[in-house]
Amino acid sequence: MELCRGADLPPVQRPRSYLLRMAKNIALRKLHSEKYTVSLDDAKIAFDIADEAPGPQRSLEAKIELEAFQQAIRELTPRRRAILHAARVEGKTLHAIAVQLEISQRLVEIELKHALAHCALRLDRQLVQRFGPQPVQQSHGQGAGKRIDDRDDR
Amino acid sequence: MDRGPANVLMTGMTDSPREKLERIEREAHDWLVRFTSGQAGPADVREGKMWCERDPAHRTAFMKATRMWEALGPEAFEGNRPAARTFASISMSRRAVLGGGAAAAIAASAAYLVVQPPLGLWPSWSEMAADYRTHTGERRRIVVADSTFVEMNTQTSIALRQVAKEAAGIELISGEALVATPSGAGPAFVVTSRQGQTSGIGAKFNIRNDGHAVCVTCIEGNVHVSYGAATASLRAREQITYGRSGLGKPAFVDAAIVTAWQDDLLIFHSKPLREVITEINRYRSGKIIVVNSALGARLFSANFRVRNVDAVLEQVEKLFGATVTSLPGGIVLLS
Repeated sequence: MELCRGADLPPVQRPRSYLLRMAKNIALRKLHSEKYTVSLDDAKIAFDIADEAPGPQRSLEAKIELEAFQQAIRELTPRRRAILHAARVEGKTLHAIAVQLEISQRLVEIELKHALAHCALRLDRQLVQRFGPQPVQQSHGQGAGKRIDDRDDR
Repeated sequence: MDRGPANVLMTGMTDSPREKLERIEREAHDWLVRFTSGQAGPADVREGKMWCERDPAHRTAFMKATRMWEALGPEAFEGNRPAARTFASISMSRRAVLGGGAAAAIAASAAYLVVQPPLGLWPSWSEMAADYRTHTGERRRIVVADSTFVEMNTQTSIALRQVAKEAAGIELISGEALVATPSGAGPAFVVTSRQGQTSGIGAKFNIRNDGHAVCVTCIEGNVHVSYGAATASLRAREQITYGRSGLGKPAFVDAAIVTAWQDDLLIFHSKPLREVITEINRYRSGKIIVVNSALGARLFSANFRVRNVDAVLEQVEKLFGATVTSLPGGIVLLS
């Protein structure tokens, strides 16, 4: 509304946040095309979840995380491990994995979700061991992401 | 690989970690799997966004799930890669399959193709009208009129043009190409680009149209360049540029640097970072943007493999202490 009244617009004050918003708008526009296949990155933009900058406070957490996940992956059944690897590391679609393993896509999906659940439970257990039961879930959730701030130059 | 009904039952009955998760976390994993399946559409985004907004705990759970997904990279599989490679050896990444699925991708992108694509992220209409086109990072060799070899560099569009009767030629709509014309009698092969013409018999030259100006470098033989009323002749290792300010003067250059792209190399000798990034943007999908103008003026020297251009970002981070902000879609801000 403010913009409509102003006869001459001031130059862009914060080029960085301007560009951030522009990039976000381009990505959002792609989402309007119904044929477009949506990736996790696209979903993160739409849900306003930005990538974290890796800071020193994150490195200990990341190390614990990595240990937990390495252990979790060792404990998976071979098939769940293969499916998780194919989906996450090789970037294969569920359909491609199903074709390759000669099982239904539904089963691939179930097995992938079990694999993820196992990793999540293993991480929670590890964090509880390190930091005690209470603060973990809290700090984990709240520090987990930053919103792209739209309002900083309004 | 364990497969078959017996194993399905076994694993299904003995170990169901998913049942031990909280409902919200289970739902967050459902969304994660949906968005990484390669089959999610815009409707899923709308539905997922509503789910996220319904309860802050949903959002937190989804963030936790995406973070876990990102942490489950190759490092997490260290020493635990699936035993036998159960999948065909070289697989394209999902991104590549989706992005490269030729017909489908073109059909999908046509909906939002505009005359001036924002940030130059998509090809413009004139580029789509080309007879031959290379994608980002792609190189391609074509043979025109039976005996002229044209090697196309990344993001290059070429249309076939017959300039005069029996005189074959091409138009370089955008991008860069190395042209080797046959020797012998007959009309010279003509490359048209931005209203200028370059021709030669038994010659080899590099021609580049960056959207503002055209730069021709003679590698072998003699090359004739005409732009408006002005003309010039080039010998080996001479380079000339034409554009809005007319036809320039020939100058000697290092031809090896000009044609290094043929060997998948990018060579920079004390170039302002701004120019380096412009060059690199031609080879990578998305766009690197230098936000800080002082940074853009810093001089940079390095050699890179074309398929490894992202290493430039690490170098810039290390050398100049620049901040690299990666956004989805391959957009990177340097500040």
